[in-house]
Amino acid sequence: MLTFAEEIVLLALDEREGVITELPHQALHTAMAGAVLMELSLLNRVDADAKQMRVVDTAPTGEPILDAVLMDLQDRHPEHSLAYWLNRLAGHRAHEILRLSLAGLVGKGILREEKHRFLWVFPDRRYPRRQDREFMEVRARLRQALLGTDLPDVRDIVLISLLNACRLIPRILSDNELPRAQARIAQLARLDLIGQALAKSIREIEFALSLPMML
Amino acid sequence: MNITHTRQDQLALVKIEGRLDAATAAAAEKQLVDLVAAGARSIAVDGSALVYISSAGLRVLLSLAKKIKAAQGQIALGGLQPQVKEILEIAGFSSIMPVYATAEEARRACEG
Repeated sequence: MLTFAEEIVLLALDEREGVITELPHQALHTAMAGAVLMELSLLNRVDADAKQMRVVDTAPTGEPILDAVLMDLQDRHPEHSLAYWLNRLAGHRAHEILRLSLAGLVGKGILREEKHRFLWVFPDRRYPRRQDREFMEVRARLRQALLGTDLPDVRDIVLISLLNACRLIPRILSDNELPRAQARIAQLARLDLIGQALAKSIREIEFALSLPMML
Repeated sequence: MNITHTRQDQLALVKIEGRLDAATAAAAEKQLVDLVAAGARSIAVDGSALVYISSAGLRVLLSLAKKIKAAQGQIALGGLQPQVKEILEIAGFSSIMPVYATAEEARRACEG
C-alpha cells in the first residue's frame, strides 16, 4: 500500500517530464507535511480538533519518516495548532518526506529515477513512471469515490481532502466531470480536519505568492 | 467513554458518554460495528452526554455511517452539546447524517 505522501507525489508528477509542475514548492512542502500528519492521525499517534493537535501515542510506527516526525512532535510543546505544525514541518521535514516518498515509489518499481543536468551544470532528477498500474488503480479508486454516491472509506476521504487542498483533483477527473463533482468534492474534503487546515495553509501560500503580481 | 444502547427491532438508540477521541475511538468503533453486525440497521445517537469529539472520533462516526448506509439504514444524531455540535458543523457532518435538537427527534427520524 502507498503512503499518502507517495500517492500525492504519484498524482502530482507530470507523466512525461517526471517532475512536479502543478504545485508551487512551498505548497508542495506543506502538502508533504499534511500527508504525514494525516498518516499519523490514521495510525492513532496524533489527534486533532479545531484548535490543536497533540501526540496521543509515542509508539514507533516502523516507517522512518513517520517516526522522525513523531519525534519532532514530542520534542516540542505538545499542543500546538494544526497550522503551526504544518508550517513547521513544511520548513523542517518536507524535503526529507519528498525524497523518501520518491525513493519509496522508485523502490516499489512504480517510478524510475533519471539524472540530468540543468544548464549543463546543476544536477536535476526526474521521475518518469516505470509502470502505470499503481497510478491507474489510485485514480480509478478515487474516481469511483468522487463520481459515485456511496460514502467512501475513511482513508479515501482523507486522501480526497489532501488532493483537494493541493488542487490535484483535475488529475483524476476530466474537465467535463469536474463541475458536476464539485459539490461532492467540497462535501468529502470538509470531513477531515487536518485536510481543512492544510487547504487553508496552501491558500495562504498561494495568496502570498500572488501578491508581487498584484503590486 | 461509555456506550450503552437500547434496541427496538432493527433500530438501536445509542448513548455515547464522555470523550470520543483517539484514546477511545477503537473501543467505540468495535462496539458500534458489533451492534450493526448484530442486526441494527438504523442507529440514533444520543449525544447529550458526549462532552468532546476529535478528529479520531469523527472517523468513528464516518465508519459507522458507511456501514449503516451500506445496509440501507438510517443514522441520526440528537441532543448534542454545543462544543460537539460546533466540531460536527465545522466538518460538515450534517451532509452525511442529520443532526436533531434532541435524541428523541433523532430516534423518530430513524424510525421513519
